[in-house]
Amino acid sequence: MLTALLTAVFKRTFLRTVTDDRRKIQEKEEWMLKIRENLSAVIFAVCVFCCLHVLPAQAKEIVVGFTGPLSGPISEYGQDISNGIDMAVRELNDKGGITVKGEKYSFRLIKLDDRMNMTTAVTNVQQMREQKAVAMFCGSAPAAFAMMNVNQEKGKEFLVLLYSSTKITWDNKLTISISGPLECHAHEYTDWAIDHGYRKLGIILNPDVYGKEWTDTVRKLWEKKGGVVTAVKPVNYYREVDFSSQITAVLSTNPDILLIGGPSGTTALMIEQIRNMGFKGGFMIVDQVRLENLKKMLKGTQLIGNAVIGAPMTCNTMPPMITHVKKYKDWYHRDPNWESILNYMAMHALAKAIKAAGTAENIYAIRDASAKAYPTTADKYPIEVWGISEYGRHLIAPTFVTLKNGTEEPAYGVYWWLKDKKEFDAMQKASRYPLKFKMVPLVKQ
Amino acid sequence: MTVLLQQIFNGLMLGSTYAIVALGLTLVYGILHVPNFAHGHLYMLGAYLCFTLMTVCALPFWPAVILSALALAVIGIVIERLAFRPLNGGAEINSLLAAIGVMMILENGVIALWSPEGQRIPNPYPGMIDFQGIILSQQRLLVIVSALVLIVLLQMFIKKTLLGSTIEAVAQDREGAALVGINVNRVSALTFGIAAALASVAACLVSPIFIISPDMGSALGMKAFVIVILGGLGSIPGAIAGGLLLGMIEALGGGYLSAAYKDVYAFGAMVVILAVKPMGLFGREVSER
Amino acid sequence: MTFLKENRLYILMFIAAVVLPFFLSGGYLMQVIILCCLFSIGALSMNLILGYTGQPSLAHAGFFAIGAYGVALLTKDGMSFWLALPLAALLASVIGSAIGLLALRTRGAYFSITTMCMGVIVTVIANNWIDFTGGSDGISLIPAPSPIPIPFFGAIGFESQLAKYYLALAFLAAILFVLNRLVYSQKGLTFMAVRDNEVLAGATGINTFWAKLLSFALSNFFAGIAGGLYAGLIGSIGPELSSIAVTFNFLICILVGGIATLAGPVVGTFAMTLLLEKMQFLKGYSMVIFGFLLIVVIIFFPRGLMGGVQDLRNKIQQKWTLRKAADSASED
Repeated sequence: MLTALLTAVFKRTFLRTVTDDRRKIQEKEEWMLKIRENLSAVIFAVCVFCCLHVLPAQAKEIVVGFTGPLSGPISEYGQDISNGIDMAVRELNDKGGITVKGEKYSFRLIKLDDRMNMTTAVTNVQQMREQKAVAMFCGSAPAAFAMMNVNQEKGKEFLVLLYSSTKITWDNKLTISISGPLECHAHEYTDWAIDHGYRKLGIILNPDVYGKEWTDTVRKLWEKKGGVVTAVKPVNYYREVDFSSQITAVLSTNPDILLIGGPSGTTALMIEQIRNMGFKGGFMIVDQVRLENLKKMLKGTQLIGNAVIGAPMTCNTMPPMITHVKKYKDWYHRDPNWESILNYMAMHALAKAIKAAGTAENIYAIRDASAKAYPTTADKYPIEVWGISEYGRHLIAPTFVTLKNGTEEPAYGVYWWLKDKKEFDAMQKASRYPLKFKMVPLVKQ
Repeated sequence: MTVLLQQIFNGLMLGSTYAIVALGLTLVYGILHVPNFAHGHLYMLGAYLCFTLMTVCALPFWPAVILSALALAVIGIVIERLAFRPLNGGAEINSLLAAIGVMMILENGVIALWSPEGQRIPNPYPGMIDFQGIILSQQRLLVIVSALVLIVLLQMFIKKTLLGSTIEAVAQDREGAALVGINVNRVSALTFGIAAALASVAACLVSPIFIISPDMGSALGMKAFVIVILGGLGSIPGAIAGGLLLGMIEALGGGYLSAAYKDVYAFGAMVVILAVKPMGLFGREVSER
Repeated sequence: MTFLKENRLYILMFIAAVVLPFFLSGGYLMQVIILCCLFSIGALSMNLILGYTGQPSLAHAGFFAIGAYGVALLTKDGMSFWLALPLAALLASVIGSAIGLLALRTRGAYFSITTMCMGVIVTVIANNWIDFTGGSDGISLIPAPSPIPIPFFGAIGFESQLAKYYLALAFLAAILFVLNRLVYSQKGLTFMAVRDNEVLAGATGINTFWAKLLSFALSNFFAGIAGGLYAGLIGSIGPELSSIAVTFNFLICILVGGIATLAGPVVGTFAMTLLLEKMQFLKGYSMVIFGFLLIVVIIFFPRGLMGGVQDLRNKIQQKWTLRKAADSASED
């Protein structure tokens, strides 16, 4: 009975009698033709529109630009940076802009999406130049290089504000790195690991330039401090999700500590997979990873065990930081993080530098006046910036947090630009952070 | 030795997911001759539906898997009807363009609807089994077993049921099937639905182990295509063998040789095999379409 | 004279392109148009193997990238751009031929996937051989093409955007000319014979394998030229240039413009690039809408925009003839 029913249904749906549906085909063709004619007109109109539409530039305003991933798989990163800049711009404009040599200026931010694609980034740089941007923000070294290609052209100069901890290898007067150097992290991580008795290091990082820089820097320090590197396995944190074969290979060399990290999400997965394979040692987690995201993904810190990682910026509990966090949440409906706040600070610093330089056009003068925008102390600003190094990097002390058996220990900061104990003492006196501080050997960055 | 066995287990799990996804793709190619590069994106969409059903609607794992497979089957049929069927009979390369269009819509649509950030699906079977030093997670074992069951079921469906035979008939000779009275369009739609549902099941099975993200589909779609070609277009045993082979090459190559160049081994091996056997491992010589 | 008359449309377009910069306000649109010229060359070269020879190669971006990396590395080492460009293009062509020897044994979808694997391998190498290729950061600060000295006039430099535009335009025109000659030559006819029916072409005495290999090598040579120009004119390159997305982009431009036509890839590239630039304000939704547009266009214009234009022209001609016939009939 059931079979008969099924067969009937089958026959009705999947079989048919061969009929002459020529008329149907003809009707369809006529319909297609009609649509094609209309479509041609639309396409023509769009082409004309594309060619005519040109943006006019405006006067009496200072333009800053940002190019980064605002759509696509890592758009959160670009969004955080652009929100940070946007927040500073809005705050400045709410106060009525700035006055330079008696003239009032307001700020305007151009945000352009490059989907992490170089070709688009280069075009975006052109677009921002056309609108006379005095400074361009970016969150990745390749985009910064595209800017450095053209930022010293006479009469069309602009500042490049790069958010990246990568080593400064370029010689570009108009580029400023606005985050702490990777080398400082490497120093602190290796110190912590050696102090806690770890000696055998396995490295599982991304096979990109950032991952390689981390690998090389840590490896050098690690071997200098008496440890051995048992295995180095690059893993693509962006494209892959199953790390089991690489983890198996690394764990077979019996390391007692692992250096890992990429985007926070996949790093959480990596930690879970490593612990599931029975690894009992510690972790050093690179500065790209956010502890707050790891906690969310791993439902707490229990699985992380022993580790050292960059601290969330909210380890600073001073009032300016608390107001900043609240305001940011109100405006953008999400939590601020290091990406947003360091770019926020850089934007405010830029405004101060323009004011100090007394010009909104002479970019070299603005760059020279940049040092006058500092220091910003924690009793007045959310983040302490102490100046600019001679290589063009903001003097920001990275903060760290260590975990012991899954429990967070108090966060602390590390100075990397001080030469001796005396400078350290002076610095500690000047700082208003409610944190303990350490010092690593001078990092030339 | 344990390390080797562990790597083989890892490869087996990867390979069985590849095999399920490639199975659907090879069916679609056999029937429609559509180079559906968007197949991996259907897989991704399946994972996202499962994620939403489990977190927002708070459904248990298995109902979520079944519901998202059903939803994906419907979506697959819609895509076939709107994007691929109008191009039927035209140049194959035009269907490839339509597939690229579908890819863009699915990937960016998911980013817009959910978020570009990776998400986790709660793991229903988080337990571990330590088998003489080899760590077998329950969910991973489940993936292998489910893949096996699915493959057997699909084979039985195609070989033993009337409906399955019509699919095979259309795959072998479209015009001939139409002449004996099979509604070719309906069968095509059905195949597309089955393929999409298979991809969705594969995605739901592995996503508790992994992370789901909008770009998880593109790499897998490419690999599935390589597997299908490697096994021979339209060949079901070819897709299974190709999937397992690729999984093994990746696990062993990534574990023992350079992990960064793992794709070079996998794809390089494909090129060499295809140069030696231009119609794939199980492919039959077919006349040019 | 007849040459001028027959090609007046093309000559007019060329003149329009030459005077275009004087009507554009600024650098951004110029930059986009330079990019369009470069990607047009890329799409044209892919059209040779895909449209005229019927072999859907998916490694095209790989060869584009080989050209780009070749020029970038050589000119950064101090070699002149004018020597580096042909060398890099030749390198792309030689690697392409070696791959072709393997891959061209396969057909249709098999060929697509084999070449796709090759493309992936190029991307992986570009990403991972950090000391050589700069890894994910790519190579930046690539010198602009070295000036061409002209006796008694000084030299033509290529630092300014205007000069870059003319250089890209000159290359586009030259390659269009070369392809025009090639496609309508004996060799071009051989390619098309292979495309239309390989077995039949073989039966008439054409060595189909060598025809395909020649087309593949030439196509990759031009792809290398396009990539090399990209490196010299844009100044920074990265591994994403070799990704399958770029190949798909070429494919989109060819199919939307009109496959197996010379004008098609150029029209397609300009239309798609300008459209995408203008759709930037849509943020994340731009690609969703773009995807819909692609499907709609390919369903209603299966032979691309140029095919549509041709149909329209045919139709107008038909109407015109009909009216003429009616007029003459009424006169009688």
